[in-house]
Amino acid sequence: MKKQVYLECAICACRASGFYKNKVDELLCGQDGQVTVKKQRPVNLDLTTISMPATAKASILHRVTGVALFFALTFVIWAWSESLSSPEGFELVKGLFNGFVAKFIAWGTLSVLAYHLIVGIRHLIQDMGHWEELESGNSSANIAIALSVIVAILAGVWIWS
Amino acid sequence: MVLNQATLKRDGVQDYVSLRTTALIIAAYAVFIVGYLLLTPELTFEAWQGLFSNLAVKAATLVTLVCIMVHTTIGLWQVLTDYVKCSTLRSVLGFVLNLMALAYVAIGLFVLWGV
Repeated sequence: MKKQVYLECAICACRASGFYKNKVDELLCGQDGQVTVKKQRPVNLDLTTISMPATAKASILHRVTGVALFFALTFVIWAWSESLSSPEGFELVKGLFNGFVAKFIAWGTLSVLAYHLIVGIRHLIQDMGHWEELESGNSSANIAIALSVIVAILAGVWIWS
Repeated sequence: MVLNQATLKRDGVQDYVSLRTTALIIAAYAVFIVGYLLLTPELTFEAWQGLFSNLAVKAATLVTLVCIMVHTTIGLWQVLTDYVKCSTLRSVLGFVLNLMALAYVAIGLFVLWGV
């Protein structure tokens, strides 16, 4: 059944009337006075049911590694400051690197840095208009992730050997 | 325009450019430090202190820390505005994280001062 409703525009709050069959979320009116109807669209925010392409994985990992790096800096700056404070401080930090915890933090920081850097470079290349198509976008994301895994393995070899 | 420059308010274009220019500087510094550690298998206190007593290295370190502060201010703001819907919590988190980034710069300044 059609019924006449009066609705407010979401942007300028002017009122418009019209006949609408379905529930209307929002009315948007352009500067020419024409009113367009924004239909209710299905929204799925359940990440466990969304299949994420490589580009999405690369993107979310770039954010996660960025936040992780910010907190890793606390350890890095502490170790840096302690190692420069005195010969004793230097030996203390050097001694810590015989243990697993310091080694793991260092490896984690290096791996996360490598990932953030590699995907960051990919991002800069995309800014210049490359790898924006479905295929090249996905393959460059996959290559960036694979490269970071290789660098993470190399970093592990460096730290534990 | 003058008014715009006189305030601390940022805009999208400014964020876009700042994020990328600071990223390049941080990347260059990270490659330099990791490269130095890779090429120095037996690092001694004297060599380590000698590196950071060099004025150019001091300047590069401080510049990088300031770049990290700018980069994280923009990056963490992007993450916070996307995932933290409560504006009070978002403001508090943003404040604390920006304070941390400023503290990193302050600590860096005093460490470099003492070397």
